[in-house]
Amino acid sequence: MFKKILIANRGEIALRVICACKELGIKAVAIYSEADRNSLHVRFADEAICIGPPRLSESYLNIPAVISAAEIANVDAIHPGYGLLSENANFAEVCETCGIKFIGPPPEITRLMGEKEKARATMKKHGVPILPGSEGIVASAQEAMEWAKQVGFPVIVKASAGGGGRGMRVIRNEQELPNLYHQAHSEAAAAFGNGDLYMEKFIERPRHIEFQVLGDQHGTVVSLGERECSIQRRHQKLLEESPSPRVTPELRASIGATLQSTLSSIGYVNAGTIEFLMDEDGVLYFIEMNTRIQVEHPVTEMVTDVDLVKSQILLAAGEKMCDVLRGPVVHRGHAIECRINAEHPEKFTPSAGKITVWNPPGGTGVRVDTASYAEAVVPPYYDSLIAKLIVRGKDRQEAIARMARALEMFIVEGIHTSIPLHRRIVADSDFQAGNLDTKFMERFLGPK
Amino acid sequence: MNTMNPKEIKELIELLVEKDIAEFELERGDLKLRVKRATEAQQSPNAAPTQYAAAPQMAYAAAAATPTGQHANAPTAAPSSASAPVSAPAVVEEELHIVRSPIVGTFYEAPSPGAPAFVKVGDTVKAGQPLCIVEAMKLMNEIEADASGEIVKMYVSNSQPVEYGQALFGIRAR
Repeated sequence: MFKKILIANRGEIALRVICACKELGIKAVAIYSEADRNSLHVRFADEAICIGPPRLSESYLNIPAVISAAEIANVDAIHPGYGLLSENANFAEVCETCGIKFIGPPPEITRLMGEKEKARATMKKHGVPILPGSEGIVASAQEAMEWAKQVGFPVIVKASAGGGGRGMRVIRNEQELPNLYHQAHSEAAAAFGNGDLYMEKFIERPRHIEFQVLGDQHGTVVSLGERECSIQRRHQKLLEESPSPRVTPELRASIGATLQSTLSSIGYVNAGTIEFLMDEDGVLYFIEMNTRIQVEHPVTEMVTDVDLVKSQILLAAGEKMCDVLRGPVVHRGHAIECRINAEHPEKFTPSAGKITVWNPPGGTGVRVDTASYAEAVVPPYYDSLIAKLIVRGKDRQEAIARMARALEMFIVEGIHTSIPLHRRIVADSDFQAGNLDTKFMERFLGPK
Repeated sequence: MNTMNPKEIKELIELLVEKDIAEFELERGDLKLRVKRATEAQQSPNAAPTQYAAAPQMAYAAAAATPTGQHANAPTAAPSSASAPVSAPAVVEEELHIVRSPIVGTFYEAPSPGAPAFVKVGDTVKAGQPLCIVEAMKLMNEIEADASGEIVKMYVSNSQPVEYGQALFGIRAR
């Protein structure tokens, strides 16, 4: 077992890893930038090393500085958290070369999943459903028509050479296809100098469903069920829950089994999350895989009673899955998480500054993961997540009532937070009915 | 009893501070004691870097073991440096130019083991002159003086780990 772990991260996730280390009797080493000198992760670590000035590129993303700190602290392993260097295969390789265990999958796997086309091809080969589409460029309106009939309307044509919405058209039926195809082609040629288009099945109102997995170093991969993360604004998740109101036990079991065998075949180790889109008929399509622990991992922890971060550490130390999980994964109850951001609840402008009042909620079934505290200063250099509020209830109804109660009792002053927005979302009738899809926030925030 | 409990250690540190002791050794079996009082030229080498105030258990600056009881403060109050047992350094009064480490790594006073040190206390240096090496990931980085003057302080010792921004030398600038 590791004696010392360096946490290559900051904020709430660094503190989360420190918690797991303390409970396992492992010494935790924190790294910090000058802006984080008074952070909780620094205070609660056993050792703390300043590695650079506030800028990410000069501190937390500075691989030589991180490794140098790991060397002088003489650590056995590095936990990368989420974001930052967690999916940087080069960093994982440097750790390996320096004889430091990287708590995550092997670099080759991280690279594979980082290349979207390769990841899709790998998943497809193993029987994981992927979003149907043209294999390559659709060279003419004729070809587009053939593909569209094969894939099934609606479809979307996208520019091969670029993105940002240019050279993209949603085509809903045969009649409008030729015209829209040519429009997209011209637009792409004008924007990127290349009019090539490819085609994908288009889901009007997709739900974002992701599955949590763990893998040991002995070939065993276990699926811990799904989370629904459809409530997003500009592709940033605001609220997550488990189980998904739309995933049946049969679907959970069948996708779980497919993922377990696929990931075991490719040699997946440690924690990971596989993201899917679900169409209106309840069919799941693979989108991408994240080879790290995720922000919303507490949601799964609350319904399975599995400590995912501790599991990561144990698995990285070579423990077998049966010793880490000690029994089958059982889902009980319903959990919801709200990501509390330091931003204006309506304008979404970031709100850095000093927190003057900090009163997080407590009571039955409430968990708050945070590195904030009264008198803390939220620095302007990093992302705006300041707390995760997670609740668990025996069913979705109780979880919603609990979340509403907990949000009401979460008092923060001195900065703006998204708490008022979350309160409105949780009170929304569509949310309460489980009518979710990734366009929810667009409709919710609506034209004003 | 050859070990000390945190309370004893705390009392000992307080005594040392009160009596202005700069150096102190102690062996228990057959007792062997060595005490040296602080003189002008021997103010604490650890007092200048204020970053330790925020990392009470930073192993690298500690002269004495940090008693576990000491850091159970409310997070709002920055705990006073547990690793600097001696009070106010001469550094602040003199307003020296502090040369700080631009990277995290290991401090070496000489270009290679056995070679003479780049500089020592009392030497006059020019801006741009190499003062030491900080090794990071097997790369030897030469750290240059960013001011000209006399080296009056050296805050770290050979092969000591240093963090970003840690004070290395104090120069009385000219």
